[in-house]
Amino acid sequence: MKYGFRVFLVSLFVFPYFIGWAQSVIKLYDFYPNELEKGAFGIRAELNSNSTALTATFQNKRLTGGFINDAEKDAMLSRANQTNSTGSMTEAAAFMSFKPSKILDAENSKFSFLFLLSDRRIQNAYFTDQMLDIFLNGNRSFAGQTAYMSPFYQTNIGYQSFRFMSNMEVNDKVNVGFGVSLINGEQLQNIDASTLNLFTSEFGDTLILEGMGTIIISDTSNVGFLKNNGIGGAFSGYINLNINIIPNLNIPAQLYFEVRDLGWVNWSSRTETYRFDTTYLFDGIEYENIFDDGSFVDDRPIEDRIEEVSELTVGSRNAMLPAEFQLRLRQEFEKYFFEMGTSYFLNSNFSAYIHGSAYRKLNDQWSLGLESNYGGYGRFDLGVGMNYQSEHVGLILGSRSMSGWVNPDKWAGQSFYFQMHWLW
Amino acid sequence: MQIRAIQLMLIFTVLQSCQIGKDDAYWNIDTLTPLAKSTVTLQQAFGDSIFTTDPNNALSLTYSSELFEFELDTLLSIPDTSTEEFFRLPIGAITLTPGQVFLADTQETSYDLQDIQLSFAIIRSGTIRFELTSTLGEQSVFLYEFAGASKNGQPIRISDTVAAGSASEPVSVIQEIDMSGVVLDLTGPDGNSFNQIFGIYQAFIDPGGNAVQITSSDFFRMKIEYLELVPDYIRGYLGNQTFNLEGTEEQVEIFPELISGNIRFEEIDLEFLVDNELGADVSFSINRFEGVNTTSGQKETLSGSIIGSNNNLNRAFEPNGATNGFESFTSSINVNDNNSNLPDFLSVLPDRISYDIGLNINPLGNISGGNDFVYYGSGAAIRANLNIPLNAAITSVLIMDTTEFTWDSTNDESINPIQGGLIWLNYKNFYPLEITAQAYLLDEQNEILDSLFLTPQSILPANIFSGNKVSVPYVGRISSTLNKARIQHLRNTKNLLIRTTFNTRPTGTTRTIYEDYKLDLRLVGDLSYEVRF
Repeated sequence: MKYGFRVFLVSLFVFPYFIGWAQSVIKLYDFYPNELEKGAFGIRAELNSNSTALTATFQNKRLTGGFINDAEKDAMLSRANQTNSTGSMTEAAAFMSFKPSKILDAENSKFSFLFLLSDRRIQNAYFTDQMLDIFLNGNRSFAGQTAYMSPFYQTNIGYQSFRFMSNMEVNDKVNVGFGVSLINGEQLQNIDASTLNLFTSEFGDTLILEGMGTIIISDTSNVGFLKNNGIGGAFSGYINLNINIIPNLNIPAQLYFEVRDLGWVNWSSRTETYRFDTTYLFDGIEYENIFDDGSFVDDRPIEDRIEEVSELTVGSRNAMLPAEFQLRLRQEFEKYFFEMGTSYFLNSNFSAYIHGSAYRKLNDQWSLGLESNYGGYGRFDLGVGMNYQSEHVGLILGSRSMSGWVNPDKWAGQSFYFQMHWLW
Repeated sequence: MQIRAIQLMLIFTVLQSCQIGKDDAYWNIDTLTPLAKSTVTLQQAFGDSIFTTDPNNALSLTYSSELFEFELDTLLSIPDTSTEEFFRLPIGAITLTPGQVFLADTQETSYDLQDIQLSFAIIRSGTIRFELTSTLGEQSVFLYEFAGASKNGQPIRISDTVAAGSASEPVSVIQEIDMSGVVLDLTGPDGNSFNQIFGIYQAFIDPGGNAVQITSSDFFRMKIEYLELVPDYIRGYLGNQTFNLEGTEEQVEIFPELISGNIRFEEIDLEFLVDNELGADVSFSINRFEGVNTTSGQKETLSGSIIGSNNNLNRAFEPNGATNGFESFTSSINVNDNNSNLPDFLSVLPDRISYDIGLNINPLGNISGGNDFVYYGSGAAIRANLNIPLNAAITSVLIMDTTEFTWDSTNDESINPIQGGLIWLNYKNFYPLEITAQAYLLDEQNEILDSLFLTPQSILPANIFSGNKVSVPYVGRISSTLNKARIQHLRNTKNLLIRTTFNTRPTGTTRTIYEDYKLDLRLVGDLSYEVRF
């Protein structure tokens, strides 16, 4: 318990500052106690990180610090396609669920209830290879050319949710769940640049930045863990169907569909929204007369000039949460179980993610498995998983993407998930 | 600062705002960034107001300076004067009855103005101070009337009383009269004198008092002082006076930014404009006119027909009658490369001129019959007007300037984002001049820490393909390497000493400078920059 709590704290405070990406490993349905148990409580942490261009080395050095050398930059540029994505999702949570039929005087109740408190941070970006080149190498190699850096989308959102859900056992083949969440919006940074081109003249005496888009930043004076910069709500729901898909097998398959965090946050009245649609030429600070000290025509810093060419509004703003959709099919056998599925995040620069896994039941308590997946923020990847379940204690541990650990200089996928729960 | 700003723009640092409390990943990027720009012209270096253009837009440099001014206070200074009148019995005693006059006379104050004979004056400022002292045992009354003096058309009369005193305790009364605006007839009681102020006075026992006995120990004294009289206008004969005026014009800003070198101008025109505001004839001669370049130490004395020759100037006149204003007489003397060594004189780029000018008032004597005049603030002045067509052969002309410099507002050595690279100066030179530049980095004590360029770098001249005018600029660039040592020196730099040398090419070739010539400069950073993310 003490160890688990430490892990929880570490998850809560450290993981959110890790970047990278993937999707929720554990289904909401899995948080409920099974038919034999009264209830459950537990902690969980999840980290998923991936990119089609950035490498794990880069991601890790963002966490630990360190110099990115030319070879490491070249590795990222060689991975990059014309358009690329990167993303990370971290989640730390504590939950408690119970079955009224077991602990209350409601023997006929078909409901179970779940309280889930979680901290979630999602960072993602969609960028061109030339944007990456500018980012890693600067604009010097673009002398006399235009660097096409759009489309460029980037989102950094952090929020905490208090979720209440109910599971209803419709019959022995159908379970449905639905619930609502109260969302505390902690921070939001969003860039949506449909046009972003940078021309560098041959000798560097002129830069022309052509841009069109929007930047949204939540209150920058109120930054930190659990700070409130917005309030919102979300809906989550699922349906789990037990269906027989293999003849002569008396273990039904589970077809599962889930929507998680379909909702929004109303960010506070101090939220800044910059809209820009301009072509900005910068050719240096102009000195009207170099023989006259201080004869600047315009010595404002470029940050001020950029502010001038954008339209700033300060006020509350609604923004959709990155809602997650999952579809899974799971089939158990006597000694194995298999799962395949797909998932997608809304508003997250996410490409469709497909995955498949196979687990071997070692005994009544232990099972080990392998997973392969493709999409999301990365490409093809492999993972491993382990489940332990005793009478009162459960442990889920694994990784959906290990490529970044195997070869961090070339690949990016890094994933870790952990859950520990207690049943009674 | 700007480099950082560009970096911010490029990498969208919004991304890193969430990275709190951890070590950064960092790497180097190579940026090509405009830093500063300016268009430099000779008009800026010398000041726009001193340039004119001809119909072909060729520039001429004009310079005008008053060499000296000879005013009334040099010509005439009225000294302070003091006179006293006494009443005292030589022996014995007498009784004075009320109303009895015991002192009455005229009082003349004559000024010794040497050869100057003034008959009329209007006083601009000054004071007359009366001091009356009495030991008489009864109150006395004193009256004074200026003869031939008036103020606002009214005669000037002064009266005062002196209380009874004693030999042991004399009583004094002081009265001061403001003389500003007083009109004075200076011809004395007979009307045929000069420089004389004349008054009539009397003293008597107060008619309402008592008879009083006075002895030889009693006295009544009247002291009159004329203090700090400044005339607003004078008329008379100003005398035949000779002045030898030697002087130095310390700051001759013909070429204010030029330190040294040689410019061989052509078709220069120097005009000495002489203005005589005196109501008297004047003659003058320029005996010596020397230009000095205090930086290089070079000197050149103007020679030619103007030096030592006598020049006569007619007197100013009063078109609306006396005291109603005047019109001066103006004469000019032209000096050019045909009648002098003016090109040589200017080729040393003088910043100081010393001169010796002789001036003679009324060289022919009193030919006006005593009707010379001078108004306050007027005199005689010589102004030099110089017109220099910028058609010259320029050799090693040096311009230096020191300007404040700050590397970064924070100057925090722990923040060292620039790893090295080049600073480029891209230029378009429309001038047919080669400009060689170097900048020195100076510390707080103005000691040289480093130079911006390893060796002075040259901005090459525009070529003249046809005619006499540049049609296509020379486009080029020069660079300075920024290494760690130089960056550190830049951090410690407080001032930049910029040293620029100009030459027409080929050496000694005369080139005409046109109004539309310019030098476009663009400073570009080609820098390796450390990004933290």
